[in-house]
Amino acid sequence: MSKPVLLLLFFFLTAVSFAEERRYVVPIEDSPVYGPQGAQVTIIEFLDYQ
Amino acid sequence: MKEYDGRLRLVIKHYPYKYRDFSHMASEAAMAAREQGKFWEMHRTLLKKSPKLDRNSLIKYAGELGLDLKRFTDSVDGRKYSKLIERDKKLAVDLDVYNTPTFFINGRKVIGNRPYEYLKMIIEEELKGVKK
Repeated sequence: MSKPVLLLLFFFLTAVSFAEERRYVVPIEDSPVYGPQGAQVTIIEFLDYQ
Repeated sequence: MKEYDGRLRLVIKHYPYKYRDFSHMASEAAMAAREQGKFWEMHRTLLKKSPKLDRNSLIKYAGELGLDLKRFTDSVDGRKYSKLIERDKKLAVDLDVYNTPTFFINGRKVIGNRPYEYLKMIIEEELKGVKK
């Protein structure tokens, strides 16, 4: 592969990994919660039952 | 969940799609069951029975869970939790959630139905990160 193509690929891959590493702040408010408040991992699930 | 007892917390946000018949009503049903201390039981039932979520079916499921049916139907028909559901929907839009389910695992966005192993991998990463 030529250098420009490799460079482009590099930027693309780092952009993708940054996107995955972004951490959103999602307020829990009074939504239904299962598990303790001090849990190490919090999973917030947006769902549609249908 | 059981595997990680005490280390994991699950929060449910409603994101009923606009154009499906029973989405909003099913969310109302889950919240109406919560009022009677049976949210998670109803939550599991709805996931299992989907897409059979018409009003009569919802009332039938509520009966099977031993809920007070008058209270339940009053809540669902009166759309008692529409404010909370609409708030969740707005939050979903603000967070650019365009598919369900979408998970935020310690804030990391994971879109769509993923194999359990994939979610487990992220959970394990997060557990390790906390220990550091």
